[in-house]
Amino acid sequence: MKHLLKNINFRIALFLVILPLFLPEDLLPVLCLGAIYSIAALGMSLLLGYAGQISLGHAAFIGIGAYTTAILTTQFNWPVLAAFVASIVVSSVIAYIIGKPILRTKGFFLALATLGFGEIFFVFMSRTDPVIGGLVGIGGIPYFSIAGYEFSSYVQMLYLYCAILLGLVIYSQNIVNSRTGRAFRAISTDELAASTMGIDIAKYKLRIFVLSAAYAGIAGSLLATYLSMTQPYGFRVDLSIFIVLAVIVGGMGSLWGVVVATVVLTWLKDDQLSQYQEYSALIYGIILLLILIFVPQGLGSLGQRSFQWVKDRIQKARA
Amino acid sequence: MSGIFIIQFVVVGISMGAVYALIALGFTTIFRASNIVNFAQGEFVMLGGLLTNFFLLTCGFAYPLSAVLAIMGVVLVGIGLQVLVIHPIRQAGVLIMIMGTLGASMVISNIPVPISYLPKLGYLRDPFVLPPITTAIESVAIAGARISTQRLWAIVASLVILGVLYYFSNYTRTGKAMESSATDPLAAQLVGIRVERMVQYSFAISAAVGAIGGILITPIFNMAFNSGALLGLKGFVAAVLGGWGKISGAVLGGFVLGVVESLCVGLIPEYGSRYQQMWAFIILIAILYFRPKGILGSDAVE
Repeated sequence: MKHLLKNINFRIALFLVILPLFLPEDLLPVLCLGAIYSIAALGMSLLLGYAGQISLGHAAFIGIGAYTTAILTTQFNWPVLAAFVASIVVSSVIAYIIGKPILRTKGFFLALATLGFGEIFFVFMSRTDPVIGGLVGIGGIPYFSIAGYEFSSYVQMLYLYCAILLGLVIYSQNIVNSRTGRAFRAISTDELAASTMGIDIAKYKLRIFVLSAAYAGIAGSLLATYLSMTQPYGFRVDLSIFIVLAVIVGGMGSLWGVVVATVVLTWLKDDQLSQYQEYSALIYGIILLLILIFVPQGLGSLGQRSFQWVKDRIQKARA
Repeated sequence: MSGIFIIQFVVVGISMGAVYALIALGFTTIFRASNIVNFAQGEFVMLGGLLTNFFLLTCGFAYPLSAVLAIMGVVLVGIGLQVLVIHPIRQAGVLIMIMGTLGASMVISNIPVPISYLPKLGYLRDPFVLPPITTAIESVAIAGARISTQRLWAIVASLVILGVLYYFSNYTRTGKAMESSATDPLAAQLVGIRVERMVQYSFAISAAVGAIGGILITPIFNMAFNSGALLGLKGFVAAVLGGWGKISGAVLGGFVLGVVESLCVGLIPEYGSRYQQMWAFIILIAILYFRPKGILGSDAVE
């Protein structure tokens, strides 16, 4: 028991169990969304923070997950859980197919290729009317349910999302500390050195890309059941940029940091900025630029830097 | 489908390609001077059209004056972008640079929104078209297909700018200095080149080229304050398609992308025009798969 209490994941789990009971009602929707986006951001954190590969097309994988769940539940009457699993499979398979050609590129070109993929997804979804519903999208998606138990209230949904999130964080931590994780870090530090050590770079890159797309698929499937509808505009470049921004703010190598950053940014964007309506994109863009200019290492570095600043001041005062 | 139709689509493609070529040239100019890819390039194009429209409608200036003022305005935005955003994050790595230019793109494209709430400026929020440059002759016939003179203007202008940029970067001191400040900034600095200034020049030139593209395209293309991003991405695709980092590659890639896109739209029954905005990116994925170096071959893409 003592050992368990020292475990950071256990403490956070305990916190997550108690937290929803004390929260004001009107914060719950934002936290639900934040938890869902956190799942996608976790995948991005593995791809970006550990493997050093950029993707600006992850909104499309979230969208693929959401649309798979939407189509299977509303038009083929699949149970939600089965559709959830199918969403993960479909987004992984598409990531595998698309990853092969585009992961041969790096940096700016990988960013362009993934942006292009996102745009292909958006145009296809918004211009295809049969089954997909074009710009209107698909509505009437049932709540998430397991063996007849339906998650229909915000508190229930938040518990569900937090449970999945916690599981995925632990799974990600295991990956990071495994042979695969060390290979990723080697690739992001020096590809050439990694390949001379016998790491099959192309294989590992594809693997992490598919894994992060699977996370996005999970997030998408949950998002579809949470909103009970899907629309192409929900899965555009701005969502991809948002996910990458969350990873930057949370700190590249910190999984829990990314979760916190995603929740805070979701609150900022969907709760605070949305009241400015037409101006929200402008304000959001300015905030994004300020973050990149002043804290490109993530907010975690801010504490360390201010500590260093105070220390320097004290030393100067003494000298 | 008859031959005339195909010729029609090819010429429409060439004129659209001319604008893609100008956007691609903007990407190439900045990259050759600084190794930076500016994802906000499309906003220069949008602003070129938008500012010309503003000077025409609100200030009531003549067309040539409006165009010149618009180009100057966009050049200022380009330099501002370099000073306010690019310079502070230049050391932070590729990811931050990509996000920074994307963020700048978001900010620039949304600046017209609050401005449009000033009295009599509400039109800034709406899609717009500019009047054509020449109104005397509306269109000419080429091999039986009718082509509007505006499209010919776009083609001629992009070829002229190609020539000017080619001469500038290969035969002038400043052009060579710009190139060397990307190849080896430290060495360039040691021989007395002001690297930072060169990067600013490249942003200014690239903004001007983008603005000209915007002025040329707006009479034949429904422009709006948010159409810059997509145009910019297509210009980037064109630059990769032709051979990244090469001036000739940017222009060739622009024309090839324009023609192939136009033929996809025109010749694929039903789906061609339905998925109009998708073809450029399918071409991109294909080129990255089969020939990432582009048509003319580039040594910058890995």
